[in-house]
Amino acid sequence: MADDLIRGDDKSLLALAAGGSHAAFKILVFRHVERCYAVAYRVLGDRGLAEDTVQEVFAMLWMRPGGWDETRGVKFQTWLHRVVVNRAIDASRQRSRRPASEDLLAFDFVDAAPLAEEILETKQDTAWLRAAVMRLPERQRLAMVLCFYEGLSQAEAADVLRISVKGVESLVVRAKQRLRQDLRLQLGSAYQSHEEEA
Amino acid sequence: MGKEDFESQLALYGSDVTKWPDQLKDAMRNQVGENAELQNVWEREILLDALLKDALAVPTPAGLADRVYIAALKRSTSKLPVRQSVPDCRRDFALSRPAFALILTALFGFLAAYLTVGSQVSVTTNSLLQPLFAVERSFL
Repeated sequence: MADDLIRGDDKSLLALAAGGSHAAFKILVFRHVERCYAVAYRVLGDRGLAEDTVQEVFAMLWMRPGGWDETRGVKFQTWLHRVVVNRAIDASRQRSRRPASEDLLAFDFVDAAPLAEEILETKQDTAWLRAAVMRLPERQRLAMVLCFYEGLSQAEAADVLRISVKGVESLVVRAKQRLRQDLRLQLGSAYQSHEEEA
Repeated sequence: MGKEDFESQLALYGSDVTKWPDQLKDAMRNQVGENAELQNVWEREILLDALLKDALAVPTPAGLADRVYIAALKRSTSKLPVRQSVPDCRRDFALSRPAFALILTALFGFLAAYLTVGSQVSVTTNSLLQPLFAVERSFL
């Protein structure tokens, strides 16, 4: 029985959860929680808020498992991503009315410009890049995160963000342009000399 | 393909050319192979993507799934409709509504009875007191 549940698809697990099956709901949580948390964290940049957001979303899923409508042609995972993104955006807006959290403040401590070689060697000092990503306009950041780090196709990302595929493309291109500029500034002279050589 | 077009394609499909659409792969390889500027753009994009991959890696906190599962169940019970989630004193109040209605009815009944009986009492009182008044008047 347990094996059947573990092998069950999202749709059948949701149906069982709607009937009050704790086991089915638990499998859904374990199956999707990591990616939901990653999405929420990349939107919010705050571990505590990301976990709260994911908890809210799964609590809502348990209380109202009928929120996903298969007939609309959206995969359960895409729908769940959309819910997490929307809830994370709400949380982000609520937070913007309060002082910044420790996680985000930590991003702002980075001020030195390490050499490109050092960055490549250690690959650890990426706090400045996280800060740059967090400074991106919300929709640009989301489009980039969904397309490159959550493995969604542009069509799926468009569905999550409720915009056209062209809109997603435009957001991704602009996000990357801004990050390239940040990379240029961060790498400073090493980057310039590399460009001049070329 | 110019530098700006190439940068847009890199932004859209990433620096890993194996993931590019088939119709663009060969054209990209041919042009970049002959163009040092495009090669430089490509190298920088590879660097940026590698750094972004590290920067945006999200380590999952230990025990996250268990916590989320338990919290979801707890939240679902704490966010039931108001009638079931109100504080105990209010729930008690809600349960004693019939009793409250009975008390109100009794109160109205008592009031009505009091008024009715009161008027009779006053009449009775008057009739009882009338001889006394007569005696009093005779003294006067």
